[in-house]
Amino acid sequence: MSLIERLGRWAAVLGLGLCVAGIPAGPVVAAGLASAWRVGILAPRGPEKALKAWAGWRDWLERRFPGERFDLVPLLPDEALRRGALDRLDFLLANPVQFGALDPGRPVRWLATLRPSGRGDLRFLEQIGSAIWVRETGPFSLAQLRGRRVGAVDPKALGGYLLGVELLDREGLEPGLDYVPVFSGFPAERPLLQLLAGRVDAAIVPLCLYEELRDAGRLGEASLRLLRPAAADAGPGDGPPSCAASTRTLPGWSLAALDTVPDALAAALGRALLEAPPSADLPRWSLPVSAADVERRLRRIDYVSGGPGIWAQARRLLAYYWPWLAGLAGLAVLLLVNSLWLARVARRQRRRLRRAHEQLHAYEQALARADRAASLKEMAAGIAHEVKQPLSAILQYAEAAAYRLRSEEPDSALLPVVQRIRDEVLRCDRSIANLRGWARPGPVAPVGERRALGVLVGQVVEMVRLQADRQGVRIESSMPVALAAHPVSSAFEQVLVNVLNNAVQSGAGLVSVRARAGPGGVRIEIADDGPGFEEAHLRFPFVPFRTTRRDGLGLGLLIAQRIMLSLRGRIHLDRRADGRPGALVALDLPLESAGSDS
Amino acid sequence: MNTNEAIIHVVDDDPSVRHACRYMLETVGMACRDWPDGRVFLERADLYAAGVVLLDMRMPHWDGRAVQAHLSQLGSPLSIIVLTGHADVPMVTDAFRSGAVDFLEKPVLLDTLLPAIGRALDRSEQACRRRRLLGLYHALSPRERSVIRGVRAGMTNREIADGQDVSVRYVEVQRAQAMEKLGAAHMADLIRILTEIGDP
Repeated sequence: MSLIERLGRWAAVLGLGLCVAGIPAGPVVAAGLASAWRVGILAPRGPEKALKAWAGWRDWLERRFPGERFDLVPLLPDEALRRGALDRLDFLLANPVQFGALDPGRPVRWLATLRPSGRGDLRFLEQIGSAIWVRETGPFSLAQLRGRRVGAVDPKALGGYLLGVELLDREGLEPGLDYVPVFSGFPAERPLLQLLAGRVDAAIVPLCLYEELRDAGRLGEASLRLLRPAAADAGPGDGPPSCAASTRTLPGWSLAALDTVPDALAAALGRALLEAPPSADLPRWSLPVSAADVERRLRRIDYVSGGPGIWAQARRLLAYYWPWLAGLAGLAVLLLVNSLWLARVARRQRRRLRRAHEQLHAYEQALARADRAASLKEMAAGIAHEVKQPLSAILQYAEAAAYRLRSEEPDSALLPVVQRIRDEVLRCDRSIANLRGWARPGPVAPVGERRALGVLVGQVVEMVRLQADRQGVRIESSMPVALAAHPVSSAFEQVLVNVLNNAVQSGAGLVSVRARAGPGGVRIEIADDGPGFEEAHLRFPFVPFRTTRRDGLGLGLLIAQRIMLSLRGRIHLDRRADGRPGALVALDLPLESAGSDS
Repeated sequence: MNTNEAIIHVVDDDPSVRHACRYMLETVGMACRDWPDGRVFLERADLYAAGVVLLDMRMPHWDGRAVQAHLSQLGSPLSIIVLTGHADVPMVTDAFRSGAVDFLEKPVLLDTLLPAIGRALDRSEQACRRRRLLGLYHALSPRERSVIRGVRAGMTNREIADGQDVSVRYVEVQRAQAMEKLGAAHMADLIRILTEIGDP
């Protein structure tokens, strides 16, 4: 694209009259032979001001080079920084340093540099520098800017920011670390206005801006103060600075011919600028001044070409603070490792907890099943007993009747009837015997495997606690180490569950389970602070179907007693020994050697 | 069967069972008394007469076991037949170990019960007699008792006299007095009595 454009321009210059269509922004080939050269002018103060300031010069140029047309193209600095913004230009009027930042890849010939002329509207182009303004109330030195908000126009503005930053850098202050830059954007007077409004504590502005605004009366009554006036610093430009500055002043703008301009034209133009007689209306030019010194100084703080690059800044931070950063990184690694480790521990703990819970749950279900079966069997046994009593009575009446009939009237027709009654009773009895036969291997016989007493009690307490917690009942248990390994039949679980459930459901608030050495073995005492046993209950403890609970079967203690008997143990019901209300159940287990059961 | 003096005690907490049992036994001509529970029975019954206790195991006040234990502690001659609604091995073993004569499951047929009662009565009368003889034996003077012990060990009068450093005549007198007190008509009778007493 740009090659075609350039060819097109050459065609225009050679007067071949070729019209290159479809290139909208190319040099305009007018109806005559005059062609327009596009002269880009940086316009930090806005396009109108720039056009107004340079119009006279443009006219002079066109008079000097009849047949050539020059179009002024004002560029706001941030526009100019956009990639490709310079593609359509043939000349550029800008600060050489800033040009480097704009498009470093493009070949350029510097033709001339502006000299201070005292002309009001150009004076801040002729010399470049920064003025750092503060309010009268302070701060009073550059050092006092530490921690303050410092206004500037744009991070890439040369007079409006970079030179000020370079000055502060020499004072040991770094942007972002020691003070806070606040960028207002173009036009360049904004930072000053923000300073007046109190939104920033200092403003970095280009040279002469303050004076211009003051002369135009735009600052009102406010009085601002310049930090570190640099009057003695003349710099490479000639003459004293025309405006107050904080930094040294640099040579002003230069005119550059870009690579679309033929050498002959460039040379002729440069000569014309230098040879022009001094005039009040025109800018004065000198030979191009090198910007290498400025560039070098700015590069020292890494601001040229792209301004404060994020990597450059990071590198500087790293160089300054590497021990701290290394420490922080180490700390972070340590924290990371620590948290990973904790997470691992927590995960393992959680898994173990879940497994224990599942185990407990399965165990609880098994016990509940066993309890249901035991209850059913005990109920069957109870019913069998209840039915047997009347059966027994019927049979004996029948037997007596039969005996009487046989001895008194052996021919009685009633005798076979009585015999039939007897037979039916016996049949009934057999049915009950069957029922009992099913109930028999129930809770009375199970010896089961042997378990360590401590483990068994711990598991049962844990399980009952699941329910007790819901009812707000606390269970505490103690188990001397010497007894924990005592072997005990797993059938004892059922006993403990029944007794503990009774205690928990009696309305107690605290249930304690204590194991100690007892008569001939181990005694486990379950005490609660509920209402305790009634007198009748204590005298005749193991009566089936007697319960104080609405949903109770009245078999729990009975089953417990049966199992204890089958284990050759005893169960005692009592009141609490300390005289307070509450029940005490003592379970005595004999010392058994492994496999001692007959 | 000596049914006129011996009393059959029916101990059962169920009144209808009690009554039926008593009715049946009285029908066959036995003297019966019934008791609502073990405690009343132990308090009121004559525990030192010959007789049989038909004992229910499962009672609220003083169950069968307790009654059995109490009777054996008292040295009562009453024979115990355990009558229970259901039996299991430990219970049966237990009952026999504490001195029950028989163990029957309810409901029980007359044909089963009568022979058992007969056997039990024999045992009870025997126990009664032994108890009476034992009383007589304990009533002997120490001298008479030591002579009797010699007789029982199969020693002659002389051997006894030598062993106890007394005269043969003295031994003869003591022996005659002892035989009279024990109600033994002759030597063989004395030996039978001594065997019945056993080792006091």
